[in-house]
Amino acid sequence: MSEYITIKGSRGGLRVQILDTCEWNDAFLALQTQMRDGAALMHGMKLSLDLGQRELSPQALDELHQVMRTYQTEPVDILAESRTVRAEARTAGFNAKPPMPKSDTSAPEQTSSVLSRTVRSGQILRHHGDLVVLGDVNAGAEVIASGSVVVFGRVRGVVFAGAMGDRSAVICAIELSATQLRIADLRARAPEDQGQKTPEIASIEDNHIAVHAWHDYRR
Amino acid sequence: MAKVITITSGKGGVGKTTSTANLGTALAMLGKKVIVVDADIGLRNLDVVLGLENRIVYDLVDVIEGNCRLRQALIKDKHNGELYLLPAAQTKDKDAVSQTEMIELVNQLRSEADYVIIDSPAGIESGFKNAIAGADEVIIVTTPEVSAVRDADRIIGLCEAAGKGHPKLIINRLRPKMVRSGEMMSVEDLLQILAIDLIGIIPDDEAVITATNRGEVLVLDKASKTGKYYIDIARRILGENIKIDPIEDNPSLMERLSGMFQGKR
Repeated sequence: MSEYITIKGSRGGLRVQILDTCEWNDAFLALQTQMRDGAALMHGMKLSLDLGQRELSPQALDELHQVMRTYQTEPVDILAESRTVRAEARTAGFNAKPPMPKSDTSAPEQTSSVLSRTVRSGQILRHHGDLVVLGDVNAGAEVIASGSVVVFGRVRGVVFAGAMGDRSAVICAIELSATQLRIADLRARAPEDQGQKTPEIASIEDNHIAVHAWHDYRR
Repeated sequence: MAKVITITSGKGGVGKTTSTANLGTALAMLGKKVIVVDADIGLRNLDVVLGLENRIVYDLVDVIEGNCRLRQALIKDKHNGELYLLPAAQTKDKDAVSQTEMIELVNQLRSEADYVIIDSPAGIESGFKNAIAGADEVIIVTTPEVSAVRDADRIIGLCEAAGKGHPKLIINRLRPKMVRSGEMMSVEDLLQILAIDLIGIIPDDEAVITATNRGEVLVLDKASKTGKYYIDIARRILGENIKIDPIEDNPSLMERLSGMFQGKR
């Protein structure tokens, strides 16, 4: 993640704080990079872009709207102190709101989450932070998180950990028979033979995804 | 007020229509007034399976478009005075009906029977969405094949997302011999993947094909084991607590011999 933008999970979406004291071009470039690298996670999540006290020209807002439309299916909120920026943002096609009160933003961010359910074929679970699933991830299902993913059950679908580029993220499961594993920029396909029926952990080692039995795994 | 149950599967050809016809007939045999609805507009089959094809005058789309009254479109079954069919239109397609219209229709049907059983089309598109829109409960039919199970899993997710709760599962066309030899997924394998409650197991039975071709349903044949399995499911729908026994067949001579050599039995 860059020094210009900070991403926080919020209820049902992501809040992207854009530093308001730097050059807009630097921040804009960082945002584009983030949107591209984190596309799997950010696409389909509700985003709000917090511009803080920054003033932005109508052209810059138009450009921003176009970039967001390239990556995003959900409508994007603009949070800005300036009333002019909010009005211009609405013209450009955003929803616009004043930033959250200070007490809200300083509240401790919840990054890990526990979900008790079966993730079924065709369903996608996205989460900013670490995710624990108490249940199975069935074939045809996807779980995507910016942190690590722990599945207390069988994984037969696709799991993507470190979806914003965190290479230290790991994937653990009671039974790891995933169709495909992804950590940060790497992918691994399941071996053709039957997967182990013992708990396993997948992590990045020497630039590839390695899977070890849980009882052999030592940091 | 009737209870509305939709029978669906995702994948085609796994036995939705056969199950609808048999369960509808079984519930009627148990003394309930039942309406079976064919929601597969454009590809209607339920009338054929029940042997009522030549009695259709009005259909579901006629009712929705107001071309006839609901009771005019309901066809009384040949064998059972308590069973009625609301046939699908054959010359229209799925877009002829909206979800709201379907919910209204289902609510009209509620006052006419004890049970309304809706036969859903295959797929996850508008036809399927219409079929579950008015349902109180959903029953998923699957066969022990990887592709059918994958589709069933998808459908269960969509039913849950639509607020229909956890569907119940019918495992159709199970072959005990293939399960024993490890060539077919077992009931336990299926339940492990789908993680929903089982309401019945139906064995693979050639008699289903002959019955379907004649426009009869198996539950009417008192000698049919498969028919009995369907009647058990109907009883479970009525709330009776009937244990689901594993499907047994007689192991072949070869199986018994090889079992003996391996020291089993």
